[in-house]
Amino acid sequence: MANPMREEQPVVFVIDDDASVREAVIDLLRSIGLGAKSFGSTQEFLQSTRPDVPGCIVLDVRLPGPSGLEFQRMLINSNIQLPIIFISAHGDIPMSVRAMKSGATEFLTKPLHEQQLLDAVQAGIERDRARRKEAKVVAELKERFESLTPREREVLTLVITGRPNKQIASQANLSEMTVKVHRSQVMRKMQAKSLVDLVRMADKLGVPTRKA
Amino acid sequence: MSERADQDGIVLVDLPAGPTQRRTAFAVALALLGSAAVAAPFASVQLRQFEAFIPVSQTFIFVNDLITSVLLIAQFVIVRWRAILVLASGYLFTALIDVTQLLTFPGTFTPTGLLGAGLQTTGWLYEFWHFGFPIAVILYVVLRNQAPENRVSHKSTRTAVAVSVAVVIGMVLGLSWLATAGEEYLPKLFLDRSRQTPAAPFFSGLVLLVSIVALLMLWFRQRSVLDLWLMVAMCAWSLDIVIQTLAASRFTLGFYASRVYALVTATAVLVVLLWETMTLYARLAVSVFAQRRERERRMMTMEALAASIAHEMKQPLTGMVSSANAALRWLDRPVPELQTARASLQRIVTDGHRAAEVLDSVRSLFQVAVQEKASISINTLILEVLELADVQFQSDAVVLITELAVDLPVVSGNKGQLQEVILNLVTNALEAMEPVTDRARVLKVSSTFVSGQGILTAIEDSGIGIDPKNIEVIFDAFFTTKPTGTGIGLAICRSIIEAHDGRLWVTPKQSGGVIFQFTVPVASETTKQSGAMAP
Repeated sequence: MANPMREEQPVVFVIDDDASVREAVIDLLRSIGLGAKSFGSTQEFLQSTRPDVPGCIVLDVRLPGPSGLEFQRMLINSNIQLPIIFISAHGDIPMSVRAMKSGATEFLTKPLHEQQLLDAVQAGIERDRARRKEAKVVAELKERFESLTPREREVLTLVITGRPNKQIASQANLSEMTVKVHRSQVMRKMQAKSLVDLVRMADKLGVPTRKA
Repeated sequence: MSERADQDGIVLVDLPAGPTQRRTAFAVALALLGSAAVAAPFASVQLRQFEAFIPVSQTFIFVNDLITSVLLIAQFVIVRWRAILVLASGYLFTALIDVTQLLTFPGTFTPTGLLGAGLQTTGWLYEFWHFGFPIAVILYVVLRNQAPENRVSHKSTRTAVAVSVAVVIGMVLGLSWLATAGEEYLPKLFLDRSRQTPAAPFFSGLVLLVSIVALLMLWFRQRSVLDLWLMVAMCAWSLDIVIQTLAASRFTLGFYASRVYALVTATAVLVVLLWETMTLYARLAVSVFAQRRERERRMMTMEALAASIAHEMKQPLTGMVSSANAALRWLDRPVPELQTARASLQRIVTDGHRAAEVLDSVRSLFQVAVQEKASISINTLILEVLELADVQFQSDAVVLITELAVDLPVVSGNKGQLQEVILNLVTNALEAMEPVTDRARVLKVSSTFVSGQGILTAIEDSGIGIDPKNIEVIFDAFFTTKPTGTGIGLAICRSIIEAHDGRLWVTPKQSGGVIFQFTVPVASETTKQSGAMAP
């Protein structure tokens, strides 16, 4: 996780039906060393194969076919979680409010202010990077959780409630010794350094705590 | 212009008579004739003497005739046709002489009548009364059949009304004097308080003849609703005389019947005038609503249009700004990337041209093409527009001064468009003068020939003027200081004048108000220039 920067080179996807706007924005992004790809329509974007790297979308609100806002909904539905920066030559308030409510990172009016665009793109990429990192952590935890035996999982759900081993033993109908063994197995397999660490992992995984 | 206004059916006294109107009028006339035919054999049957009948019926006639006269005078002030003033005077004469006749009627107020009336006074006043009105109707038809341009000039409208009223009052006073003081010199009509002399029917016959002439003249004219109902009135009028003559003495069936016909005469035109006024009012209300809707619709269109123009312009601008930013960054690199920067700059050039194309297409959308050029007299155009705005001048109490140079050469241009420009400028001037109360509202329209420039038209007002900071932008599209304006009027005016190879500008006046001036080259010059510019 320390050095995959080469693969992690971010890409900005620019979707605008106006070729000159598209090219100019791509050019600007490349001039500050960002990778950028352009699409003439949302369809084109959805059909393309995208590199698995952090990125964000710069999207014109008024496009032929599904509107920018509809497209945003389509992305959410197909589980593409790239942050969206809306750009519009109209920039009317109700539209920007709707866009922001449905999770747009930023709403910029044309002509674009360089700094605003670059800041928004950077913020979008950072957000995506953080989200990806988080997703990766969760995926790893899931893998570790999968490696637990059913018994170990049961012990885990009891351990994270903070009960002493004795209580856990009586509740799970096990000897206190067995609980201890399972507990240390859980800590090892989950690579948890402490009980607090384990609780946090369980929280991220969404493991339900067992009621007494 | 007047002809067109007539056809539009907005001048009350000249509304064309529709088939329903005609049918109704003929039905009323037939009913009158029928009733007269029934009453005629019993005309001389003596009935009870109702003294109150006289003052009641005469008062009724007086009030109706007076109102009709006032309505017609009001119409005259608007259309200024002499014919209408003559007719109004006729009604006023009828109203006034009716009163004097009532005052002198024996037995109503005093046994012999007021004003020193003699035995013959009332009879003669009756003859004058029944003679005067048909004469007014005949004059009305004669004047109306002449060219519709037969109008009193704008300035002398009030004078004309005052003179007419004075003349009518003078005539009534004179005739009353003749019938009272000069009674003995007039032929005898009555033997006693109720019986007529054998000579009386001769005078009645004369009066009847005049009435029938009036009726026939109306029959041959018969164009407007007013004509139609005047005919009904004249019909009742003639029957009034006939029955009165057949009755031969007062308080007979014929005597009472004749009063009923007199009432019909006094009512017919009044009712129709009121009816038509309400109809016109309804039509006006509908058209005002329609106009309001139209304006709202246009405002919305303008808004949508402005938004789409803004959008179209922002696209190339976005390209240009972003490309320029990119180019700067390529050049700012430690090792400037000249080739890439070049490409960015090249895109700016392309986008610049594209922006210009967008503007061209917007212009062509608004383009005021000079279609159907014709030779036009600017003075005629000015007069036509002033005619249109005439009612507004009066209701706003605006003093109009025209200084139109004579023998101006004609210009070549589109009549409708140039008219639109003048109307727009005049309307603006009127609106600018509306809030002015501390000084006279004066609108001055002048035309002169300026060599090298063509005809210069100036429209000068004494209104609130234009804020100096706005004077630069008032010709810009979408600029307006009016709450309901679209801000496109003056922009279109300027486009029109420029399409005619002329110039439109504004100068503020020291004394408040502004002067809008525009030039249009004279025909020969314009043809040359536009010939060279024709696509």
